[in-house]
Amino acid sequence: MLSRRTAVGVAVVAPLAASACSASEVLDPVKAPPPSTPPAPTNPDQSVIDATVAEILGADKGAPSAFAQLHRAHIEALAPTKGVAAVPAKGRWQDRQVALVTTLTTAAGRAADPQLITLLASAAAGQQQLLHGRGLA
Amino acid sequence: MTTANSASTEAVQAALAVEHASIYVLGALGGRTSATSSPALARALTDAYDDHVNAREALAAHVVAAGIEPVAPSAVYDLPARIRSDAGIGAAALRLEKDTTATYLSLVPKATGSDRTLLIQLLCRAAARQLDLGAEPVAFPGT
Repeated sequence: MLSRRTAVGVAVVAPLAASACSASEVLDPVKAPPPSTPPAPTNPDQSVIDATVAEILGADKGAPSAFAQLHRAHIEALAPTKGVAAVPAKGRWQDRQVALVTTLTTAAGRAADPQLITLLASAAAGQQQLLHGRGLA
Repeated sequence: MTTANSASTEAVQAALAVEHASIYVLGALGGRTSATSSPALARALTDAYDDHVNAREALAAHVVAAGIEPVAPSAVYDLPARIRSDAGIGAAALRLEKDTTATYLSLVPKATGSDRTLLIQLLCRAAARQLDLGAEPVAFPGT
């Protein structure tokens, strides 16, 4: 049991200690805990997007600028991960451009998000239009 | 309760209903076009008509394969009114193809598996036909 004298001492010191502690927290921002921002949720379709964009980039090597121009709009809308690399280009550019319709159709079949499915399907139709206009499909 | 599979089949059935209507309207538009005085338009309408018939057959086959009765065509459809020129006929046909493209695009996310693949293939065909009727290519047809 505390003596009366000790109890008074604790009562006097305790507010001072608490006050000093609060002051140090306020005045020293370096020691403040970082703000708690939860990481952004991973897009389950991101791998589909990135693989599709890699195919598009690979298909455009050597193709007329109209295709690259169309694909810039597609890629911007798809929002791939930064730094996605093109797959190695194989065969004639015409064949690669025709194959892109299948690539986009397959990606639309694998995607889960309805908005992404719509985007990929419409991009496939845009690719088909350009091919048709040039007599390639 | 609607399951994923039945929703997918309903999307194909809706596309089939669109094809029934398109065939009817294109047949009527083609009947007002002269192959002699407007050979390019007549050819574009004939090609579009044939393409829609092929689409109808492909969609009906998918529905039958799912064990469901394909939706039947209506007895009559609304036709574009007061068209008296080749330009008007061409514009009506292009409007039809743009509507078809937009409808397919709206149905695609509702379908799954091979149904979705078929709808995208037919969407691509509809988008390409627009060019035959004077449209310019766009990045995102149907939107």
